[in-house]
Amino acid sequence: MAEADRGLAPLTRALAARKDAIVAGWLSRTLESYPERNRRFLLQERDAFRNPAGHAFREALPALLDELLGAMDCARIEALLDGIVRIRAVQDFTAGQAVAFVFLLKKVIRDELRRPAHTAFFPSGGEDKGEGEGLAAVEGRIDEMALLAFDLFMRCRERVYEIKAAAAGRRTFLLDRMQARRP
Amino acid sequence: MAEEVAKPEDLAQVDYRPPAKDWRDPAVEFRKGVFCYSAAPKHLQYLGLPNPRPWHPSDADWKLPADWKRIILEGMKERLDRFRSFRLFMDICVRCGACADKCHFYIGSGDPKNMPVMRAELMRSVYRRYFTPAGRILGPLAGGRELTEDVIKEWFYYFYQCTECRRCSVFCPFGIDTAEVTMMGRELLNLVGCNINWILEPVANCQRTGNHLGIQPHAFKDAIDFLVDELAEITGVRVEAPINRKGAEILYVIPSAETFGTPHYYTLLGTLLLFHAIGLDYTLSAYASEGGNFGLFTSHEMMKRLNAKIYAEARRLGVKWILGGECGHMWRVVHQYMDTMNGPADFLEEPVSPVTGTRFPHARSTKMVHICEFTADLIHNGRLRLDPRRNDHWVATFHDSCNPARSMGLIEEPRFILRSVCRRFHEMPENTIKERTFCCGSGAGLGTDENFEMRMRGGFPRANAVKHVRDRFGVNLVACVCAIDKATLPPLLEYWVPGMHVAGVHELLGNALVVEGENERSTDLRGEPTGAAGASAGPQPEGARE
Ligand code: SF4
Ligand code: SF4
Repeated sequence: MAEADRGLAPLTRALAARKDAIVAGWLSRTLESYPERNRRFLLQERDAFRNPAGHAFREALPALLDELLGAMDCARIEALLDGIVRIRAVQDFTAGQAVAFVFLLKKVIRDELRRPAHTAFFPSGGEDKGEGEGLAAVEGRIDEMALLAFDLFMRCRERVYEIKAAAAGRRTFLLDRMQARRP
Repeated sequence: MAEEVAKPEDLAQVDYRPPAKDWRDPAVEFRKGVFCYSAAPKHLQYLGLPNPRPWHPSDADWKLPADWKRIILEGMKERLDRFRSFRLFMDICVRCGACADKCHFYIGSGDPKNMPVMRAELMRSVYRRYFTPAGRILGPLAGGRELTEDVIKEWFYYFYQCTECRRCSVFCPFGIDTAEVTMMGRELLNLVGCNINWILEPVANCQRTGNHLGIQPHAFKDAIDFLVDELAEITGVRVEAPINRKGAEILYVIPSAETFGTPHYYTLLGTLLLFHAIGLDYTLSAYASEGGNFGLFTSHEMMKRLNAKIYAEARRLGVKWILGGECGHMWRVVHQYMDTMNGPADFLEEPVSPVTGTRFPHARSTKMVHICEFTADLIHNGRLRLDPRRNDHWVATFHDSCNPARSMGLIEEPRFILRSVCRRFHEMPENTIKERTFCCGSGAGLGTDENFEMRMRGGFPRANAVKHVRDRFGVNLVACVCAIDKATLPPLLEYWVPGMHVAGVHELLGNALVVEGENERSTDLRGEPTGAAGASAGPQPEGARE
């Protein structure tokens, strides 16, 4: 881990200073996966009960970024991702589309690093090889998150099948009970 | 080679953005998991409905009748003339958008055509094109749309993606009820044989045997007998559960699920225990063995047919009035349509509680009283001995089922009962309950397995509020008074809020009810240890009288 994290600290400090802008960029790219008319609502309606999906994104993305730039606490990341993936697992998305929002963070971070303030971390400006070591480490972490998101997605899909089977059992509840008790 | 390697940021090459689409384009994709399957031809034949044939919504050819367009337009004209509300709803929407983000399907799916205003627009655009002078001449310029086969498919997709819950109507300044537009849409679709099995099979069964599953009288009796035995085992009290008893004072109509499914079953246990405790002179009916009326989701004619059976049984058995159980849309039919369809029920008497003498004048015409009204009155008058500590293992919240809450205003009675029988009760946030309650996402005939993903989307706002009270107050039980809720909230909550339980209000009442001659009760009606054992006696909530 220590090897992989080489050069990480200065970069994460710089990114943390720009957290709000990065989260805003990540959120708006993530919401691009919804129809245009829906995006405004997801973004603007602040009430957590009227707009539970928008609320879930707004809560989870900043906290995920904190983890990415900080402790990378696996359990916490899983809980945060779950808040989003559980929604997307029953919406009109393929597995790839459902978890793509995690990868979008790479693009947002690279766009951020293209700003002149960051030449120290990203000398090439993204045009060719030779980026700072810190960036590779951050992107490695994003990949880890994406794998977790994918696992969560698969678990949600499995749950759907288990839940359907359990529901069928509830419909024959009395019949089964009568058969069991009156052999 | 190295130069051709994609930059890491581009590795996620999945196209995650939906294509920009004009709403007037009716093409829809029938993706597995988000639509209901077509009705089997035998059910259409049995009910005498047009165009029975094998077909599937994902087929390219829906085998519509040759003159389908004429049928739809004539059907539309007939209904515009017959139902003033329909014409009004087609004409007066100003597209203010107040309803737009109030539909649980829109909130959960993000699909703009699930905004109530858009759902209605799918029909309204056809209305404009064919029934308004401007639309006839100007067509699309006046907001009109051609009626094509794709529009029929689109209607099917979106009108069977509306639970007719009426939440949107609460927010419309003009009172436009999009549920009524959906009902018209489904009626029209039925004219050309586009209907779903999860609705028509129960309708056919109901017409044949009186209930959704087609349970016959002997099986119905068997289930009730078994229930009486179990109740005796749990409580030590043997109750009478008369079926088809002529001359009883009251006919009690339940949703049939209480005789076969869980957690519905426990509601019936609680209710029959209550009737025993107050010595009610009542009967069940093996034919009026279903309060549910899936005719409501089919057509006005079908709704009338199925509703009539309850009154036919009341007449045959010679009862004075009718008590109705924890059913959802039965109450919408009774409160909003029964009187004009099959009423007034002059051969019955205005309901009066035989225990308290309370009159129920609001039921003067339909002669039908909700069990929660009846029980709340008993508690209010101090006629029940209740020990709410027996529900101390539950921390409850109440989900207002759409139909009782919005279509009959049953808001306070179930809450009053719950507060009397359960010491730990917490409301969900105000904008998700009472008149503004969020639907379970599976009503109006959509609670079928093949539609599971859509149901999870539609129920998300409800589940989200449940999660909130779980996290905040430790709520572990959602109480409700609707059979569809009892069937569909458990899977919904298993997905969104695992570990949550669902129960009927009268199950909790049955737990708390102290009945003469009963055992020391060590379990609740589910056979689970009660909370009373380890719980300290706290202050009695208002309304609980021991
Ligand atoms: S709130 Fe009423 S008037 Fe406004 S868009 Fe919705 S249906 Fe139309
Ligand atoms: S009736 Fe309910 S499901 Fe139908 S459009 Fe209105 S809010 Fe949505």
